[in-house]
Amino acid sequence: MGRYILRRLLIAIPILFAITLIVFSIQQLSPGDPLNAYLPPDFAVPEAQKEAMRKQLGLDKPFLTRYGYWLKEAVQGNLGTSIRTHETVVHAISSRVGATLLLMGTALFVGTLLGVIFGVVAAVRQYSILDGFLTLFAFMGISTPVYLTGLLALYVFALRLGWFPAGGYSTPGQPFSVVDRIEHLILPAAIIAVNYIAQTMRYTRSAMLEVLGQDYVRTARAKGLNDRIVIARHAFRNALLPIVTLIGASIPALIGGAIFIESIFGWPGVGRLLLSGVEARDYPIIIGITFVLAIVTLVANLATDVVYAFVDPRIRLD
Amino acid sequence: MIDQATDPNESQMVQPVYRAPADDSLLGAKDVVRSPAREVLRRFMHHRLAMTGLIVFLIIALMAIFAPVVTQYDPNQIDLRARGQSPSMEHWLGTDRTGRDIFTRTVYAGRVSLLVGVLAVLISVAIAIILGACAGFFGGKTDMIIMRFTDVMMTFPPVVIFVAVAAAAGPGLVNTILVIGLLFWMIPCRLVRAKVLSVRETEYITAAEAVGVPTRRIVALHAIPNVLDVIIVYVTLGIAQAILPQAGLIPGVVSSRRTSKLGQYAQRRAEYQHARI
Amino acid sequence: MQWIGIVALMIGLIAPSVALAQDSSPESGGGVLIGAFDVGPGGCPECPNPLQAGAGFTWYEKYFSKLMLYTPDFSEIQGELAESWELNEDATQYTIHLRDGVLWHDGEPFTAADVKFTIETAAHPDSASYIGAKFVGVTSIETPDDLTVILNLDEGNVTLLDAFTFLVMLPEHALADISPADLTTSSWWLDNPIGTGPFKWKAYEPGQYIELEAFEDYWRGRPQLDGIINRFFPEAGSSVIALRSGDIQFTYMTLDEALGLEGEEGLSVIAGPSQVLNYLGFDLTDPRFTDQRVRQAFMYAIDRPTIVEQLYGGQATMANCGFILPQFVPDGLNDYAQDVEMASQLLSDAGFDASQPVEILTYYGDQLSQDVLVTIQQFMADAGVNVEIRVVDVPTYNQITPDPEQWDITFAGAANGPDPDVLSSHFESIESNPSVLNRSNIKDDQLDALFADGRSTVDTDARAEVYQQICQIMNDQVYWAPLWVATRFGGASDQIENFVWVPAPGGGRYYDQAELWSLAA
Repeated sequence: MGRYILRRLLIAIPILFAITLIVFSIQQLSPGDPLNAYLPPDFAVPEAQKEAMRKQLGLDKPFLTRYGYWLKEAVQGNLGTSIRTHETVVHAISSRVGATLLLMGTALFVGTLLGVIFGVVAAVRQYSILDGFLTLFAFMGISTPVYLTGLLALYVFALRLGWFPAGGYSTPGQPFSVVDRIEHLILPAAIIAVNYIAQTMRYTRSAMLEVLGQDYVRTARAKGLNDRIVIARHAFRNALLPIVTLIGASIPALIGGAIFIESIFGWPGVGRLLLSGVEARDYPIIIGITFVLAIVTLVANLATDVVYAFVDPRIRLD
Repeated sequence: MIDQATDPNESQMVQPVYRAPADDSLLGAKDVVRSPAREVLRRFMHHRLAMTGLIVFLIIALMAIFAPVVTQYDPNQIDLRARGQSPSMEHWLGTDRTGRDIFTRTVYAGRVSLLVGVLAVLISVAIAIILGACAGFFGGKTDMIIMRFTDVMMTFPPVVIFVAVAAAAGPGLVNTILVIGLLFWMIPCRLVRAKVLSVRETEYITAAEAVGVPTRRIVALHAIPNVLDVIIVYVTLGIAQAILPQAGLIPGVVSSRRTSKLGQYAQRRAEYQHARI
Repeated sequence: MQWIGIVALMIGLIAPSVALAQDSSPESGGGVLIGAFDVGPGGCPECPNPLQAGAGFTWYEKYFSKLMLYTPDFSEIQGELAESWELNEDATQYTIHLRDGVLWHDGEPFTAADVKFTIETAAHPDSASYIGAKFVGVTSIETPDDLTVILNLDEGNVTLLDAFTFLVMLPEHALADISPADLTTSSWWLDNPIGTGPFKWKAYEPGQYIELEAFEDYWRGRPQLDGIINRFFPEAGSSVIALRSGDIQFTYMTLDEALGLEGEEGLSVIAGPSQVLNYLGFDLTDPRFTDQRVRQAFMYAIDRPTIVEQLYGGQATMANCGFILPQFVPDGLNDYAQDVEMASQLLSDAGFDASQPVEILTYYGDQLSQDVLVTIQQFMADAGVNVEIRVVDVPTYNQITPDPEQWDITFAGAANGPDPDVLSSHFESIESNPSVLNRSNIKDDQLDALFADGRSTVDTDARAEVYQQICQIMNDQVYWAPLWVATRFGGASDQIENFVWVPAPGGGRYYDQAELWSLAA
């Protein structure tokens, strides 16, 4: 196991290199450079001025030179400077990652917890009214666009009912308070959580059902073993594998954030930073975020694989 | 069905033969031998919610497929004299700002959405099953290569790729399907692999290998059926979700504006933000 | 029917909000106003550097000041930090007299040296400022005393007055040690920028808001408000909900949102012309559009009054040339009333090849523009032209359009005011003026001469005469098919007193008396 982990960590280095190179190239393919994003479409700028701007943005250098330069700096922990706002990429990400972590962490925690509970309930009471309701809930949750749910939630809960503030991360101009933060957190976190609930619930339910029908479980039940123990020890164990996989796959989102929800709710997170980066063709930001996400993804997937071995001792990784 | 003598406390003794994940009764079911397909069908027919869902789905699908028969209007024909009408006998759901029939547009939109949803998910599921099963079953180097590739794919922010693809290949239905299909197979792939990793260590696979059943056959007949439950869940959730990315991201970048989509009705992206003048 | 109500409401609102200027009540006030000042096309959220920004001036003017500003109806330019100015008769020399007693936020006095520093910094190529680029014709700046600035120009140009409404004044004492190149990326803009505006910097929360507080020593007197906050809304739809729920007191709105606000208690809709001309720009290097008759056929085919009436609900003003302000529009223009037969006839006379589709490229992704474009598509189909629509985002649009191979026709917007010269960059040929935009590759000697003439004519009436001639040529030649100038909207809480806001390209640039704004309890 130790050797396996070490090997995975070593392989991660060339992979990171490849990912940044690919994203850098994709950036080249995307239409419009940062300068084009900078200027309103009806603004006339003399060529000399444009050249000066290009030079300042480093756009006059050939592609590989720019990548080489970026790589050299990145190795030393410097991910460059945002073209749009001039802040360093490291600062831009680190000053937003807390907000994203809070939002996504809450959503993932609540979503997984409720998703597992609902999934188990739905499996045990298969085809009951409760199961039907939860199924309906899951599909409504997963098939409604988040920006629609987001605006609707703002409309209903912020405007009509007045229970929550209409978006934002804190009340502007007020000193920080935990209650204020939680009030701002509930709506966006709930909407993201619904998606996690729906997903986790369906996979849990299905994995549970697969086992609940098995002869050995029937036998266990027939022997008079407590239902709860049967469910917990046998059926639920089988569901752990997909749940762990889903959680592992969601970890990058803890850092990457949710683009639409962060935009609709004005949540100052990494997802929004990425979206505005793409809109502004702010490639240091885009590549910086991808780079950080890549590291998190690689680590999260490694961790998931290691956890597999504990969840299901039969699994061998070598 | 082969009945193995299993120790009920050994959870890793997973029943080798695929069974429909659904079972009516947990205890004392009559062990009548039926083919799995017939079994699934029988249970399905008896399940009211499933039947209702199926019928609703069929109606929507049929309307989408036979859209030109269902409605007399052209979804793109504007009629400024009939703009902004409320629902009526002529226009069941009314008309939009340019006088196009909303019912017609919804039906045609359903057509595109269904097509994108189903095809994109089929593509991603096919990739997920093949890569996931190979990685899980063969392990070692194969697993390492496939899964590191998956890692790479998981890392790319879809927004960035959407913009690039639209630029390189242009928007359009086929590109939309391909982009969505090729961009969202990683999680089911990891789910499939996890399942196969677990299944491949069961005794019946070891036994099959021992008696010399070709590897391809083992994977196809024994490993893959066991991941069907994961796949079924993914497909149902995935089709519902695949319609979404095309709706929300950068207007006009991924899909051509000339084809209306259900998602676009819901679209409320920052309207003037892209247009600063 | 609902339109009559809302139009009446808007007219009723714009008039008093402008008229309120005289009616200030200094004893009321206090409080902190929260607005979405950077939502919509006039905004530039989290753009730190006003020298490089193309929009966002509504907000910059809360802490920075300009030498001059327009009046809120954009009819004339009035002094801000400049008390008065004179131009010599051929507009090659500007003498500007500065206001006495103006202080920077750090207490230093504002002087002629600051003006010189600002112009030189902005015009320096390293500043990469296209506002600064308007000042490249300035050959020397003299500061005979602390309150007088004299600009010498290489050729006559009256439009520097308009440029001064763009240029925010910068403190020499704080920035003299930073090179122009370093200044563009400096953290100064978001750490502690020093201006002479009514409010001074208090806090910046990335991704959330910027907070300013009242500047006690503002030269017009301390503002009524204790502070003002600019909240960012990446999703514009959310800002209207925040306005309605009372979380904020002001935001920009779309037409549909303005309609939705009808009859909402405690809120007012403010409407005004966008000063942005929507047009179809032809690629004149494309042989299909070199014939004037083809371009005119587009005008005859499209029923503009119906689009304005039906889709814009009347909230747009038809344009028959680049301008709509009466002083620049001569009598007897062709109004191109819809005539499909005439359009078809012109097309066949010109030998137009209708077998190939014509693509209209646009960066307008909103629903209203989409509806407009499908309607235009239909009108063109009626005249026998197969139109396809392609929507891209602004960076893509800016990338594609310089290459005529990549587009046929653009559906776009161009500021056509407040100064009429703003259109020159689209219509002057590159040969006559190398700094033009001119995507359509228009080459018209008469227009070149007239625009140059317009820039160097000091007398207002004589100048208007020049632009009338330009308008006549635009109307006849249809290098662009002029469509309309749409109305744009803002929504404000009735809590704000003395509030003045009007839509403008890039926002701001007019005196909005922010120091008199106050919040009713």
